[in-house]
Amino acid sequence: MIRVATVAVAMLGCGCASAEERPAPSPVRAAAADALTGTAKPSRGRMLGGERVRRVAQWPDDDAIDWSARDGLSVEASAAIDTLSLPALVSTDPAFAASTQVMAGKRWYATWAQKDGLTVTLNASGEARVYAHIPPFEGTHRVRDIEAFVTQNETIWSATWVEHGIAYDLGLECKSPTMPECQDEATIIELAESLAFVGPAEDVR
Amino acid sequence: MKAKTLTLALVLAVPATAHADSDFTYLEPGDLTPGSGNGAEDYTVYAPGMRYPMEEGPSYPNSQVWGHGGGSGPSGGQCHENNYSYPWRDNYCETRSWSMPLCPSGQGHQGQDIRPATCDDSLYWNVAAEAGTITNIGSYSVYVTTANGTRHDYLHGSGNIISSGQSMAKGDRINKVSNEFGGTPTTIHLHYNIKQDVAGLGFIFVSPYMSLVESYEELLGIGAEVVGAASQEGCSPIVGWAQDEAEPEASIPVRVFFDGPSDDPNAVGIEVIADIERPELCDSLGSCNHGFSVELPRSLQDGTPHAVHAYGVGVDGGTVTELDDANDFSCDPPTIPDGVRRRVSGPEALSAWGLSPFWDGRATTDAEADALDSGEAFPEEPVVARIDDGSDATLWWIDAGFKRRIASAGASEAWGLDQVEVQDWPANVLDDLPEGTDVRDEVFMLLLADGTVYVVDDAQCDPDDEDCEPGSSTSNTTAGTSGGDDGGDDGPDDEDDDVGGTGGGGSAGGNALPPYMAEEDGCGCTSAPSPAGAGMLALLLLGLRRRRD
Repeated sequence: MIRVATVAVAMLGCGCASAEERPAPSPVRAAAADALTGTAKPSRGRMLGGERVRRVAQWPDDDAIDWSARDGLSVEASAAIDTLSLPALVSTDPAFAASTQVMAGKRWYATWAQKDGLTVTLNASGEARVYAHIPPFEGTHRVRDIEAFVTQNETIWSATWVEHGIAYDLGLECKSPTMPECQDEATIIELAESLAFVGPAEDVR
Repeated sequence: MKAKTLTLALVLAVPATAHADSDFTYLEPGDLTPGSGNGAEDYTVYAPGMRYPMEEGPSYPNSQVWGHGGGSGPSGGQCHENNYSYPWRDNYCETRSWSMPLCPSGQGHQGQDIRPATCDDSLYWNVAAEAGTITNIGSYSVYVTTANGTRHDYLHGSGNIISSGQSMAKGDRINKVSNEFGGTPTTIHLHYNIKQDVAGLGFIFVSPYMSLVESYEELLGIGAEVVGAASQEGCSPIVGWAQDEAEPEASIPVRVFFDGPSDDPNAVGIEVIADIERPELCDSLGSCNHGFSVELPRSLQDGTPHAVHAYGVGVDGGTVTELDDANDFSCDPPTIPDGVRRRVSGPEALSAWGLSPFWDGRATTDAEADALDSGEAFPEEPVVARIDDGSDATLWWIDAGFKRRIASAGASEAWGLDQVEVQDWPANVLDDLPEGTDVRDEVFMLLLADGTVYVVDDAQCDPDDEDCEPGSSTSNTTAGTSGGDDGGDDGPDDEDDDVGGTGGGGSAGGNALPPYMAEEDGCGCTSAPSPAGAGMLALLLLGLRRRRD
């Protein structure tokens, strides 16, 4: 049943727009207007940029909040954590925690932190894209006891996994690619293992 | 790392193209410099509507390592003229030792290297490909995350004029193309990545090549003269026509965007080919195959207005042209069919099945969902089997310990079962499985506001339950049984929900035995049809792998 009748302009050249608003239809367009009432089986076509599908966060109990790590955040970062719509993980390393910045969108958030020439980023996503031509893959590693992919890009290491129902991506960039922390995957995995859940608590989300 | 399958679809074959109004040409995606590895023949535009990430052209994506001046390239410095000429060349998946699941070899280069107009350091601006937020400024990297979560990475730039957390408009300047690499040498170029959260993988680097091609054509103003129109009436399909006046015989792509124009990151876009023969077009357009018809997505039939924008794409790609007369629609939600609701664990399961909440899902309130009984969790991946001796060609969906007949091609297609590799099972194993209801002809999903997705399906009956009526949603079916809690949020009292990790918990594994066969305390010895059959079934289930063509 149609609730709102937004009547289609079935015939081009109708009086739906003034001459000032829209150029007069070309003869070609006007003559082809009947094509707007086709009866062929409708198509779904191909989704552009993938189909975006929500990830449903599976919230840990408040008991799982690492208040020690949370207390290591700046006031601004701690306040930002409470606004997130996804479970937040942050580093338990005090230096990283102290420098953590939090940025967020409707269904994602990102953190950024630095220490001793190392930049650590974390992206969390509550919306995945489904591409018909990309099937599920088996991960290359296990981090946090979860199947994960670990790789590097121009000596920037990253690890991605799905936890608490959402996707996380941890990045590690060294000030110089020659720094020992970026010579292999050990540091990025260690960083991933050290992440702690810091909220937001149930009463504020 | 092992791909369960990898089929990079040739979604829209765009040949190497020379344009009359430009010298721009590009080689096919995946056509890497010879000797530099196996490319991904991926025509997908992962960031439709994006802007080219350099402020101005010309610009030259190609290999740094295998180009002049590169470590594996021919003689000559990085400023060799061949590096600064068309055609473009893909170098996503170029040989590297880094894990890359979407590359044919499982390893490769994550992004695309792009040289600016000339071999000058710190002269040309990198700009935001889409509106977003600066989420990282590293030693030699900058990330911009868009409203829809896509991340655009810019490496090796100099002179950042941005700050962490800053909001960026599309086209805003970031830094200049340079060779910053933490004190180690590289050429003057932008290493550009697109990173997205992809179901079944998590955050991965996807091929930026065709997104760059399309945005570059837009930057240069390359485009065809496309004419056409689209319209939609009531809740009928969106119909219309489109023609490239320079190639009047050709059928061209049409893009339809819902809830916003093509550059709105929250809009949902689809592409169809306007190739339906419409006799009424023949005389006026000079050829007939220019019509299109697009189904109205069920998920948007929610009683609220939704905008429609339609665009024609010329034969040679380039600038898209908005078609006349697309309009809004508003349709009441369709009636929810009878059945039970089966919770889908998440995007990974939808990806494995190839199901689409956008097309087949209905916006649903908690109360509407609660009106249906809770059924078995929806399987993580489909399994289709037939008897291995050829005596019976019937195809069966093996669903939570039941076999369900795939009675029609329509049902097979609707559920994506036609894309599944059929497994040949011993007759006694299939015979021992209780027969459930036929696979429904139509997929109907419920979409809750919190993102939870259910499939509406038939309840299946425990064969020992003489009172059970297959397909009903009464409590004496598998619906709501102890082994069949769907993990969903049935309300505040639903404390038994299993909300473990992906694919975990309860019967959410998707190939679980029905409740009467379920393991309890490690026994697994309730009234299975036959020990031999159950054993074989278990062995076969261990080896389940989904195959898609």
